[in-house]
Amino acid sequence: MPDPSPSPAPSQVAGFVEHASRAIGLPIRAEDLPGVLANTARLHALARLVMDFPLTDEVETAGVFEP
Amino acid sequence: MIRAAHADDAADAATIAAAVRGRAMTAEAVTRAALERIRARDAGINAFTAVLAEQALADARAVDALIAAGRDPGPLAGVPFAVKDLFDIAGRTTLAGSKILAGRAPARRDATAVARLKAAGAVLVGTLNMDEFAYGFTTENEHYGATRNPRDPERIAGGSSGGSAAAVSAGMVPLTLGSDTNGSIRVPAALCGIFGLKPTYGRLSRAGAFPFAGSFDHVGPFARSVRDLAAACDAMQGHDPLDPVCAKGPAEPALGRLQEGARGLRIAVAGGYFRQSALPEALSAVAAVAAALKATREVELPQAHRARAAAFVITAAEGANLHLADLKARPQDFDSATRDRFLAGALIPAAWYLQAQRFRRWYRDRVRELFQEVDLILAPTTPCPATRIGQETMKIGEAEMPVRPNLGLFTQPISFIGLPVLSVPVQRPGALPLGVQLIAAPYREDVVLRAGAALEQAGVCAAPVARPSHSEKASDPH
Repeated sequence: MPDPSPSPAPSQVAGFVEHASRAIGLPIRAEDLPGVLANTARLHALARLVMDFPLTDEVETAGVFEP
Repeated sequence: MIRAAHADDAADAATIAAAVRGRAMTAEAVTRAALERIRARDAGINAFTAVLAEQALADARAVDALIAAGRDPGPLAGVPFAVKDLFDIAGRTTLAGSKILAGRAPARRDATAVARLKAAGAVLVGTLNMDEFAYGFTTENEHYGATRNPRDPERIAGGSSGGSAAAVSAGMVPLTLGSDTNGSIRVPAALCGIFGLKPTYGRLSRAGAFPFAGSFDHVGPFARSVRDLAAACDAMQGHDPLDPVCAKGPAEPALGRLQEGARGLRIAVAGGYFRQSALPEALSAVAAVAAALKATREVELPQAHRARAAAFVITAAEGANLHLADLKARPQDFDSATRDRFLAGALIPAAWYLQAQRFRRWYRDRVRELFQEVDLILAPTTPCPATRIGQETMKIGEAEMPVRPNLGLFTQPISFIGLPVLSVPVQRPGALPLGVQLIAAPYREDVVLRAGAALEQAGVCAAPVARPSHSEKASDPH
């Protein structure tokens, strides 16, 4: 199991939000920015749990999911 | 007898349908009584967003006319029901707890689930409050107000189907519909002290139910008895070409199997993740259910914490994508409780989303292996009882955590792979109720409902009507 990837610094989260929102043409109003940064930081932490888990090549997504 | 039956808000759907079918009372009289209860009780609860009195009375009279003509009015004849404000109702605009959708055209047809309940004789009386676009666990809606918990009006009803749970808990109607993407049926059922069924992913058609995150969206019923959930689920089953994930197999009715109880079932308690981050009373509720079902073994759902994380990422990405145009054009019109989460979700990289979906496949395969060894798994529904309206954080052990995302800690890893779950209520004298999840293998609704019926029979689980004068004020655990 690889070591957990490091948490991004607040400035990295802010940079990510700035670039990603510009890339998809989604303006973030100044009054929404603190909440968006907090939620993005939470998503980064959760995504680390997913990205750090090794999956073999044959594990595909389910097209139409059948439980 | 007829008069007494009118006044009896504790009658479950089965009792009402039997009385209407047997001509002991009319569907119209039952509907009038339900409308009167809503008028008298909902001001203090705020479960309903619309009451459809005229149409309901017309529909009830149509049921009575069928009976008078000697025709079969259906198994749910005259049963008043209400639906979360995201189910299409012909002629009405579906709002999904938002004001953004108010400008949309009225629905041309009823959602499949609504149409099938009506075809079974049930009478639609109104629509119910929810978190905006179903993105929350508290039903504190900025546009339509908070829904209050009938067992303590200072506290949340849970969400996102909070109105659906509160309306049943308060005895206004015996049957409601909600939706569950990450726990939105199970969480409010637990906090309001009633039964809630999240069927297998694809078991019930979602056609005409406003989507949230298609990978996990389910619809399902709330009731105060297990037999009512079984009857409602049976009435709504069957393939529907309008929902691409709806099961193609034949309907598998469960009502007739309830008397089998838990006999022969291999039952285990979920350990590991499902024992952490829960208040002792939530674990005590699981222990009480386990003891009644004679469950002594423990199983571990592997990597459940990552399953919850992956569910979180997929939900945020799919939900945000659905609303991207409105997030760009009119962010000010979203509820502030959902806006920031949708905006953050819109920025999720494809790599996270796809890895989360691939992980879902891996996790599904591991949990399928578990169901080779057991038939039923028990876990807490929520980590704690209902929190106070407006409460932002809760304390579980030494950890202070935000309420909104964490009420679904124990429900998310289960809906993530679409397993059928019945949340059963454990009433606690002098304290607020808690829920326990009964979890089975895909398409085994019969197993969770049989076990639920056994717990009801044993007196371990029950869902009495919350009485305004007897609302239990809990000692505050937080």
